[in-house]
Amino acid sequence: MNLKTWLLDKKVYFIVHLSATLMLLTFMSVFGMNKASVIFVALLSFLSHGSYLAYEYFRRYRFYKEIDEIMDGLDKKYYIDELMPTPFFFEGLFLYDLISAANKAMNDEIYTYKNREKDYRDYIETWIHEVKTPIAASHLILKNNPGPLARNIREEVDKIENYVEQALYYARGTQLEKDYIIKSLNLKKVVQDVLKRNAKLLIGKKCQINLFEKDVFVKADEKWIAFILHQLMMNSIQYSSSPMRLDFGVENLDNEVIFWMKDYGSGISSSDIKRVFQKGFTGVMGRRVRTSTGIGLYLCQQLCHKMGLKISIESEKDSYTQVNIRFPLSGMYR
Amino acid sequence: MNRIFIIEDDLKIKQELSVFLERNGYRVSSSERYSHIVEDALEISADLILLDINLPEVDGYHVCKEIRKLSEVPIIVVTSQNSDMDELMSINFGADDYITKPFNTQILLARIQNILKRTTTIQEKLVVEGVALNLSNGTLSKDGDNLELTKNEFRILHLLMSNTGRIVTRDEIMEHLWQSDAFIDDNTLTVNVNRLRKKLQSVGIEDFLKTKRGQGYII
Repeated sequence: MNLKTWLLDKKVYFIVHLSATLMLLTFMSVFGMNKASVIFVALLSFLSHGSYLAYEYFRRYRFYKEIDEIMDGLDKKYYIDELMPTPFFFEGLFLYDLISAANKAMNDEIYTYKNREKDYRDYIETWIHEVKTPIAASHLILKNNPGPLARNIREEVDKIENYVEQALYYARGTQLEKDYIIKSLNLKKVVQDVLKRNAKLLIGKKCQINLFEKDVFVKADEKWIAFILHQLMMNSIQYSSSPMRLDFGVENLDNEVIFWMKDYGSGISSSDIKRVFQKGFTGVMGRRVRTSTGIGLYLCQQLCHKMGLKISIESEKDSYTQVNIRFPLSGMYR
Repeated sequence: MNRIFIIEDDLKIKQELSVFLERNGYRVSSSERYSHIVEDALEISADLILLDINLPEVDGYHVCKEIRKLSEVPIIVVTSQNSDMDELMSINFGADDYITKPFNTQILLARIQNILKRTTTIQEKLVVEGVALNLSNGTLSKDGDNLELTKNEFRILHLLMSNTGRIVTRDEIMEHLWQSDAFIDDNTLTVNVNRLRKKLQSVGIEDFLKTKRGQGYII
């Protein structure tokens, strides 16, 4: 609020007051009152109105200035109704109550959505755990009744399993609370476990594995790393033709360990490579291979980011694709 | 033959798991009296117990604890909850291993074998057509001749000799080897098998390991 806006706001009051005073003075002169008393009345009127207006102006000026300052200092602006001074004038009080009521209604609304979201997430988690039992049963049934039909269905059940797992990590990776444990883990062992899990697919593609010999210890959540490696491996299998090859390597630097996994499949074109971690991005390859959802790599990046790791990808079309994950040895990357 | 007791409330899984384990050479039994599950499990003196954590009437962890109070029988916990907390609880209540649904059947078998290898007195020898595979030291003997085997050669022979009369595909052999951290490819397997055959011939074992072209191997 400044003086000009204040004065403009009061313009009707000024016009009415000025014209009334002028009429009064004219009236007094016409009836032959002496000049001194006319001037006295005029002065009295202007002084009394003027001092009242000045008082009002400065009081409000102080009030609004304080609110302005509080508002500027607030990180979450909607707390203003809790922190602003209670107004001393009627309109102010009226609006103050209005803001409080509106804020309260909005809080209730947000609370409803928060609850609804939590309910939904809980449901998804429960659902995922429930659906795992029929998937496990299907695997066993297929295993007990081998044949070409079983082999075909098994591939599809494997896909379902992977999508279900993606959903679980999507729910976990996007929630605010932490539910992962960063502890020391042996990268070689995790790679071996994921290789065992995908043994059937990899052997089916006559895969040659080149895995580093030594144990390598880094700090991360083991289940998350296993999930990430599984996603990366699924991609490699999908985009490689038989016989395929997978190389794994580690590089120990002063302040970090770089893990990489390289396949010699179809690669990623240079126009696509910058966008592979985007949600829903499938690229030219994805559009050709129908099963891509563009969620796998997005999740990998989200989970890496949450654990404070860096994931990057380099590739040459029709030649190779290499994914690097960098594990800091102390603290986090900034 | 080792006896496995399954505690699982999903009938389909229990049934299929039983078939699967029986095919792989185990005797399987189970019970549906969940309020008396501990007694039932111990009564048949199983060599290993597969325990699902989500059970009707009783809590799986409680069952685990109760069994452990009375017996040292190995327990593998099976659950669909994939969290560190569940893993920790299982280990705290005395389980020997922990596997999450949906499990890879090969991995489940490998875990069962691993635990049984530790806890039961293993079979000393596997004898087929006069050829004996010594399971304790990984060597082969026939008519007094002894033969040293590499780890992979031993595993290949073990798999084939445990499945006599059945064609074992190359993929099956590779999957078996992968489960024990030997990630060999097609060419390496061929090399391994050829070397193994030459070794067998050197002690006069001919036509023992037969190739079924395009299908696999058979003993």
